[in-house]
Amino acid sequence: MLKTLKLALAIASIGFVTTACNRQVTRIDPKETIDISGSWNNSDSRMTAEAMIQQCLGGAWLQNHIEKKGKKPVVIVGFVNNKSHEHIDAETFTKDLERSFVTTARVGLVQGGKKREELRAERADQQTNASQSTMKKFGLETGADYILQGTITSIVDAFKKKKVVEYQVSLELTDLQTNEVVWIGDKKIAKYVKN
Amino acid sequence: MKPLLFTLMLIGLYTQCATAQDGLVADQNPNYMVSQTKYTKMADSLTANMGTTVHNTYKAFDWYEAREERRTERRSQRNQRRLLRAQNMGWNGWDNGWNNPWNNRWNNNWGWNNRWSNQFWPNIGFRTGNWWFGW
Repeated sequence: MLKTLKLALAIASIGFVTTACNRQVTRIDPKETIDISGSWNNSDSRMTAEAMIQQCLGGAWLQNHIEKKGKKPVVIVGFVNNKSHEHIDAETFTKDLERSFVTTARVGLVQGGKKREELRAERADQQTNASQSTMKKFGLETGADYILQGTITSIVDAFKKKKVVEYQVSLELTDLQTNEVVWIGDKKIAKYVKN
Repeated sequence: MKPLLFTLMLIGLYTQCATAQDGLVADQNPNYMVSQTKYTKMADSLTANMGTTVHNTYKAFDWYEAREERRTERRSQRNQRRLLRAQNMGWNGWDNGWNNPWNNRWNNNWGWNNRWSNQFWPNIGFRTGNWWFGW
């Protein structure tokens, strides 16, 4: 009797340990919206990207530029200022916007920041190491017409176990010659979190 | 004479073309070089953040996070108090309490080597053994 009880207890404890340590991972569609903590997540980033792409490519600035200059505008991506209460990396949605520029071929895009430094370093290296027919020259970069900059802000209203969080993402295109802001896109996301 | 005149005309035309590019375009501010010189020096530092996200975040109040922080703070303060108690068992910093087995800090309740003269030891409460609670 005691032996049977001990055996049953041992089996039960092994079963408990294996099921307790068993972690389940399920692959889901990136477009699926699942909110767990109430913080900024992939769904927010996706919604922001979709809204910005629609607003930017549908804005009047594009047509105005083509009419005025006779060719498509060239954009360079500047920095995005995150003034919210969370760590939000803007590249999760700005990269989608950049990709839309390139895939639709309606807006030109030039490289900026650290990647541009790397390009110039490689070009400098080619001056000494690459063959004359294949080495690339300095002074032939395409100058951007507009710079894309942005801001992320948030408003938090919290009391005891409830809070309402509103994120506002704003992106703007500024004419590099005249400082004129030709387009401002924004996306507001509000969440009600109850613990 | 004619070839000389022609050569002089060509030289004059060339210099005119060369200087024309240094002139102002329509409506351009003649003091543009002041700004250009200033920003050329600062260009590298100002474009360092291009294509990145600059984080100037603030701390918002969250009820659960605040509660967890209070609990963590309480636990760490309790640990600190225990450490200080253990380090300050006697009044003499060099006294390890083992030298005299009949009069070390674990056996001696007289003089200064006791819990009642040590500011880090609580004196009142069930865990201290003081059932009178200071009465």
